[in-house]
Amino acid sequence: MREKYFESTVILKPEGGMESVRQFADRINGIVETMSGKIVSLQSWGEKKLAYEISKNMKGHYVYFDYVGTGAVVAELERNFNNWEHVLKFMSCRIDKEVNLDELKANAKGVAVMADRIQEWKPRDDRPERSAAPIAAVETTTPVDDNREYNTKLQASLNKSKDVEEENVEL
Amino acid sequence: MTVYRKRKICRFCANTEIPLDYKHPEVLLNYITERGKIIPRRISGICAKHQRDLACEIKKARTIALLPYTVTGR
Repeated sequence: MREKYFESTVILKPEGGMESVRQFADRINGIVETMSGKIVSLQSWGEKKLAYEISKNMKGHYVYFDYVGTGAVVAELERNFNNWEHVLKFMSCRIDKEVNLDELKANAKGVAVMADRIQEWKPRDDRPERSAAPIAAVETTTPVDDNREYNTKLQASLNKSKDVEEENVEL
Repeated sequence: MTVYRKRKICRFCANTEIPLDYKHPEVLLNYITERGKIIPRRISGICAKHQRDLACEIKKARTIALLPYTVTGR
C-alpha cells in the first residue's frame, strides 16, 4: 500500500493532565513505528472547553499529531482509540497537500510534546484586506432587437421586385 | 431605472493567507450564525469553491467539538 500523509485530532479526558498526554504519545508512537510509519509532529493544545457535552465532559485535552503511513496505520490507531477509555473523541483525515514524504520523514520531530496551543490566526494590521469595488450602477433598459434594422432593410430590398414605392435604403 | 448592487468579493480569494482549516475555528466562526448554522454564500459573498471547502471544514470542526452543531438560545 502507498504511504500517505495523515493527521489526527484526539480529545482526551481532562482529569489525566499532561501525564496522560505523555502516555498517549508514547503509545501511539509505538503503534505507528510498528506499522512502519513515522510521526512527523505532535502538539498538545491544552485543556479546552468543548462546544458540546461529550460523555458528560464539558472540557477536554486536545492532542493533534500528523504522520506518514499507510491506511492500515490509521485503522490500527482508530481501533486503539475506540478501546481506550481516556479518549473521548478522535478524528483522522488525510492531508491533500503535495508534499515530499521522504523529506517529511527525514525532518520529523517525532513525539516532542509541545504544550503551546496552535497559533490563532489574526489578520495582518499592516495590510488591510482589499475592500469591495465601488458601487456599480446597473442600468436596466428595454431589450433591443438587434436584427430590427437589418430586417427592415431586408424587407425593403425584397419589396424592390414587387414594384413597391421604395425609400432610399443604404445597405 | 438604475439598480445599485454592492459587489461582494470572496474573502479567501482576496487574501490567500487566511487559513481555511478546521484547526482555526476563529476564522470559521465568521461564517456560522448564532445558532451554529452555516451562512449561505449569497449572504457571505464567498465563491462557490471556497464555500464548498468552508462547509467541509465547518463539519470537521463540529465532529471534533471545536464548533457546535446547534446552539439553543436561552
